[in-house]
Amino acid sequence: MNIIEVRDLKKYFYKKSGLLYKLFGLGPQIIQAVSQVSFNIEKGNTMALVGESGCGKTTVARLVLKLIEKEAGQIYFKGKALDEMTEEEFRDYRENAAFIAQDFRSSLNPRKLVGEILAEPFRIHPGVIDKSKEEERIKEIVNLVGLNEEALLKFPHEFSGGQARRIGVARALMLNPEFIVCDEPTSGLDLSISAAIINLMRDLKKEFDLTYLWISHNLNVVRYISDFVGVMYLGRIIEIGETQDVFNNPSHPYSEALIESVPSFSRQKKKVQRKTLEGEVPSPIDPPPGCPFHPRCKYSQAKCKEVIPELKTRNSERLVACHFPL
Amino acid sequence: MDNKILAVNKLKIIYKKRKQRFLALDCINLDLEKGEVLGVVGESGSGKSTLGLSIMRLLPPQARIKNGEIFFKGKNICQIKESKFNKEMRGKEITYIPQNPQNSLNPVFKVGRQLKDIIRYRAKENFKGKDIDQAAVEIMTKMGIADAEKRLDEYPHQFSGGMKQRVLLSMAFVTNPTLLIADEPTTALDVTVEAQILGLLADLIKEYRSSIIYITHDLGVVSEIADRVAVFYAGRAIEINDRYNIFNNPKHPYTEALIRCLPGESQDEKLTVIPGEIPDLSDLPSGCNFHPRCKYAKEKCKKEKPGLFELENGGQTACFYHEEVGRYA
Repeated sequence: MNIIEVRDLKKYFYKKSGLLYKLFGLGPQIIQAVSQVSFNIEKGNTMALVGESGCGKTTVARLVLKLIEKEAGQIYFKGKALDEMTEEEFRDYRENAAFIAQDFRSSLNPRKLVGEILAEPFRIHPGVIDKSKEEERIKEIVNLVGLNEEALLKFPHEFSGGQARRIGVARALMLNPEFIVCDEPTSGLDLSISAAIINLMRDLKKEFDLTYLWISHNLNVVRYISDFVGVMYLGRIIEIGETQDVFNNPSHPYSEALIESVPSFSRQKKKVQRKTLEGEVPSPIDPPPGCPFHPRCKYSQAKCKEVIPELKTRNSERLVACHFPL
Repeated sequence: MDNKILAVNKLKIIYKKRKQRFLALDCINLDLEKGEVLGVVGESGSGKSTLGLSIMRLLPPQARIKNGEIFFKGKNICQIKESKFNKEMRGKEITYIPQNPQNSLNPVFKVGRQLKDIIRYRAKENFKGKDIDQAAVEIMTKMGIADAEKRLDEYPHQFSGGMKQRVLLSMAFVTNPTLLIADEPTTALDVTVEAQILGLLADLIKEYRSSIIYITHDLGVVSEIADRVAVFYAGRAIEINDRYNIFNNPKHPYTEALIRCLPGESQDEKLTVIPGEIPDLSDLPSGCNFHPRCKYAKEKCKKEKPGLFELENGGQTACFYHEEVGRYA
């Protein structure tokens, strides 16, 4: 069963035009943050979106939760389009879809005690859990994520980065969701703490049968945690498939280069020097014509400069947007 | 012929803040040969940036060198007059690449002016008889900045993160430094750009034969670039060895655990977690700093501070029971 299905999602941001633009009668600049993104996540799976900064992965996460409005496309939760939901159904969706924000410090209100922060989901969604059982539930979850009950009487600034992350995780779990969007849950954490958070997320997934949409730029983490992976470049998914399969055998030149670029932990006696990708990600305001990746692609041919490749089935579980897949 | 560029002896640095004393570095012994790349790894707060700043003599005012010496080419740099150090060493013989390229260039001056200043005041003799403008274009082109002539006339905000880091690399290498301190130079960059910068750095190391202290928290990066690795934990260098031995045969429980925290290719194994957290530098545990989190810890570790033990393979480790490390692997 698909928990989340996304079809042809599109999002533009409009850059406010300055005085000069107005004088010359030019409209606002359009930033194509996300275009033609489609994927689905089956229950119990972890789908990861990877890509460099500015590729639109966080925008997709926010669109899926309807924290921002999409330009076009459709998002389905358990087969029902978000647009067609009644208010009540949409509240139900928000209960079932939780979010772990990227910036764990600013996502916790500094003026509230952790206990208050964690009780907030119950204020917004009354009736999910019996009022008398709220405290019990908070204590249970706090223990589950590896914090003490004393933490409830402290302020967010009293916690270290790893602990603050755990508070964010606890808040996401409060309403017993089925689906969690994790936006860079390990970025900015030290190695050993990041490992602890990853283990925690894995345990929680097993225990509550959760489904994750995992946004990250850390490919090592993605390889470890996800079942399926979508590689994004300049607002488009350019390759999507089973994680191990994609990592072992990337079909899109960009996926290949991205995987190649990761500083792999080498135990070799000799220093290795990797092949690197040239150039940088172009501006989404003025993306190159044809395949967005062609200016950096070593395999590019004449066709790539003109025609945007569509996401096509390559083999059973793999979709690739390339005219000349590897 | 003494090839030693840098020798740090028993360096101890304390930060004072609101009457609290934080032991930022304790008993650091390091040396560096010509052309050698020393990777300094550790988690945040382990003192690795403090080490870099102390060699640059750029420690913040609340920091005090309590003990120890830093010898650069045989001279104790802690005792050189500031004016002399600034004129002859900082930014010339010893250069620095900061962590955040975004904040390291002055936003109100053109990039060209900032780079040419360095050539004018720090690297004049390298470009005798040459035009400064031409020298600037040359070094920028070498760092892989296309269209250098035009870009010199732009402001920092017109450069992307990777390009800014290339400008900073130009500034660091234009003086042909003996020692370069790179403090997490690729942390703020995307992986493909990071790979480009690391590749460039590897080429520059070959060409300039500068010694480099490469500070990072990323074991992957260190395993690619360093000749020798020093692992820092709570202000101490707990293990120093060449790259091959550190990653294949770690002899300190912390190094061993850190390597196991890395997600590998297999999804089946659980990641190793180091229990507990990094200790508070104002209230360090008795004995070995790592003992509360160490699975090999014994009574002795709680009472005595381990010194550095010499290892057979040429490295050093600060663990009483280093022979046992790796037994449970």
